[in-house]
Amino acid sequence: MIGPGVSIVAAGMVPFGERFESSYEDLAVDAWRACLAGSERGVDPDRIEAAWLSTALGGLIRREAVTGASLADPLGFHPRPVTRIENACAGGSDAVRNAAFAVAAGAYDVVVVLGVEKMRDLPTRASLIAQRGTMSHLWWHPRGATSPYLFAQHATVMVDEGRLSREDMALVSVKNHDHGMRNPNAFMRKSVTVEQVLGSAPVCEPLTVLDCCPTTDGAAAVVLCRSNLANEFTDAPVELVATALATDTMYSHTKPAFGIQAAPTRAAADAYRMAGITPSDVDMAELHDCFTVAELLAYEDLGFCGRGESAAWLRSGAPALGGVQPCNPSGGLLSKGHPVGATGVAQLCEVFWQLRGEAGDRQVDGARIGLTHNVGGNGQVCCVNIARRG
Amino acid sequence: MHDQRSDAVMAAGVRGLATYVPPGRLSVDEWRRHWPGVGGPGGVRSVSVAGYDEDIVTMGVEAVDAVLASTDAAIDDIDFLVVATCSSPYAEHSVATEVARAVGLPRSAALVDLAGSALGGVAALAAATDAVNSGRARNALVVASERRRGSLGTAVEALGSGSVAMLVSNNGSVAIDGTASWRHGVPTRWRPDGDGGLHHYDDTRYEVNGQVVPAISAVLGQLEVEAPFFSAFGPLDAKAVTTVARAVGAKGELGSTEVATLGDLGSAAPLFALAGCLSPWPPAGERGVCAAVEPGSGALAVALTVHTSTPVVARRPEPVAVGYVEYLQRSGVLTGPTPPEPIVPYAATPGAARDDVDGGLAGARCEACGSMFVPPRRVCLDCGGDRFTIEQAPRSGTVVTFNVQHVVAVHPEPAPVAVGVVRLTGEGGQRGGQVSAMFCDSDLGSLSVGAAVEMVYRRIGVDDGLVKYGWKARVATFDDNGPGGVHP
Repeated sequence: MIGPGVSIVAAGMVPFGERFESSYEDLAVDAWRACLAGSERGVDPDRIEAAWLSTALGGLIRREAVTGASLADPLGFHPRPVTRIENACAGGSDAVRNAAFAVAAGAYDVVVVLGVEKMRDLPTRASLIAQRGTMSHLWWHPRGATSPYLFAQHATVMVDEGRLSREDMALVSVKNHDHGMRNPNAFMRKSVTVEQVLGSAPVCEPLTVLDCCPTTDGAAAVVLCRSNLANEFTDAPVELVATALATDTMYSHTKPAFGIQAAPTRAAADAYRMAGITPSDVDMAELHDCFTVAELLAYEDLGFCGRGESAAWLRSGAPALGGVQPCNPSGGLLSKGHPVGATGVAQLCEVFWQLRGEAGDRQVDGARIGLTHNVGGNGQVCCVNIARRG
Repeated sequence: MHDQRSDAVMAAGVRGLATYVPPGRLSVDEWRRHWPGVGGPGGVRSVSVAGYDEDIVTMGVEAVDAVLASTDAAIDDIDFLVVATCSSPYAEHSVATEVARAVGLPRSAALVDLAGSALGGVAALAAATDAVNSGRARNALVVASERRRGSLGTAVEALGSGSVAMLVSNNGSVAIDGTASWRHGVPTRWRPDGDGGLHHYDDTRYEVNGQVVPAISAVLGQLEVEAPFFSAFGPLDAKAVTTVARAVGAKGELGSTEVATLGDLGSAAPLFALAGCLSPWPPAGERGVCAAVEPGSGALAVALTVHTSTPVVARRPEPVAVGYVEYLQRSGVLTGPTPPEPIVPYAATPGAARDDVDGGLAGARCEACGSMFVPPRRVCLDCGGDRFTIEQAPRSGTVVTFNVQHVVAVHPEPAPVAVGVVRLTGEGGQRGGQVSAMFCDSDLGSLSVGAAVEMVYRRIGVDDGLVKYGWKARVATFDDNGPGGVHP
């Protein structure tokens, strides 16, 4: 429980994809409207007192500094406060965390969290591949390092240690694409086979294109309120019972080990303690599968299985729909897409729908507790949020 | 010759005509002050100069806006646009699409670009006429627009800027009832690919008497217009217009008055001259010619018959004098530094200076726990210690992890390139003792976890022309006694 209790009472998102027809502002407006309509009685926009916005690439792609106004303006939200959160790919979940703390502190009763990212106004290779600003801060950061490298470096070590095979990684892509086929909001709605994953173009060995999430446009939003007000908006609120953020050092070469991520491990431990649960209490999870190996790392970092057991746990069917702890029923970043700042908020949208039994063909039966795992950068930051059906 | 006078009742004609001239004026005296001894354009006192933010598209839009305002034509009824220019801002790209977008033509309107020839303006008028006469178009827009410049310090350096737009429909006020063409010989004016200025074979008597007069005589002969009420010639300087008119026996209005103050307007020049001939409006039934000549290349002319009067719009902001230096700046010849990019090259910043350390691969060793960090830092990641000794880091080590990257954004190293983490030889601590690096000179297949490598000093990129140097790793396959050994 966070303070006196914080609940999620509405959620909405735009279909993720290559939204060439939509501007950043269009995505924000569409997600905002979908969210306000995203509970039984709807949410009067005048009830929202403050907003938190997650955008990772506003400065790099839009070359914009006053990102709070860039949300207030298209929504006509002014003069209410807007706070922008930037924490790499974990910004969406961290925005939820900060908004929840403001509600818990009694500063506001009802707030909105939006994650918005417009990545496809650049050619695919000019976005995260060429964003030297994020990938290569200083000369000693390895020249040529890209986002896939930040996770592939773990894969090399895990394969070398015999913990993973190339096929194990491919199976994550197969599973998540299978899940995404059932999600109308997913970007890549097509099934893939292990052979297709292994045979697709090499990106950063051992990862191929189908081991990597696509460059995506998207936006998502949730409304949070003090739990004692939740029934004003819905008869089936979802309580946000834990939110935890942890950090690690900046550079690959200051990691003491590969095949384990310190920040996700710590954030998960803190979140479980705050929620008063253990890993096995989680009924479904949305994991940060920006690359296939990242999901396998997550199983172990989150304690869904023991260290070194992620491949066996995946092959047991446990994280697939119908398994004991379905992971990424939405299709995850691999299939649904990864509009960086929006991802953490969209993960929470999926949890909201799953815990309310509204997830259609991808519904996890009887889900009561859902978890989101949102990793930023090179595992330098991770935010874990946990929600429980009211 | 193609003559359509017999079906003149339904023939295409000009329904509206407008010209636009930007306010800037460069006086020929001011220009000559900088190039004493160069003759300059004959009979021209000044040339019009486009603004920093004007090009043939924006000036064309001004003229279209003016012509549409003067007629009752609806934009949605215009189904054909042809744009002529010698001075497109693009070597390749349809500027007709740019004009069409700006004025809001229907998406289905046919668009034609006529670029690179001073004959283009009259050719555009002929093309629009053919489109309407054939029934392919109901209402056609003709645009000719120029902001040209000649080679510096030559008699053709100072050329005019301006645009003209004409609306061509059935039953226009001026019927276009004949066209004629003549190919001459080799050009005396040309602009090589990639060159900003027009080149000129500088012999006025040869150009006028040897090239222009024969070409215009040929097209006028084909048109069989006896004693035309007006003759619109271009592009020529003011002196040449008079010479040519006398030589070909042109009678009546010459429409040349603006050449003296605006200069050579390229493909738009004959249409500017035509606008001059139609102001004041000639008596109904009178005939005239409009001829374009590209000296040496040839000529193209149309015959016209005047019907009912229509407004001829001249959009002329109040002229403002422009000095020669500003003229060169507006022309893009003199350019200053570009504004700083928001994301600056790193190599020349204070940050780069702060990161610069003497003595190659410098590391900081924690005095409390002995961990060693490359580059030096202020707080020990292993024990939190804050006192360090700077020392040279070992130049050898082993691969901790690596990846062969096939999609990278570096230059000039070709993909694939490998990057990874190296644990340096000796005690360095848990979070210390390692470096990140790109691998160089390595057979990518020879890389493996645990492989021995050495650190080497290499170029690691160029930022705004400044070479950046740093460290890469290579698999150790030799020692200084020759190939084949292993680095100790």
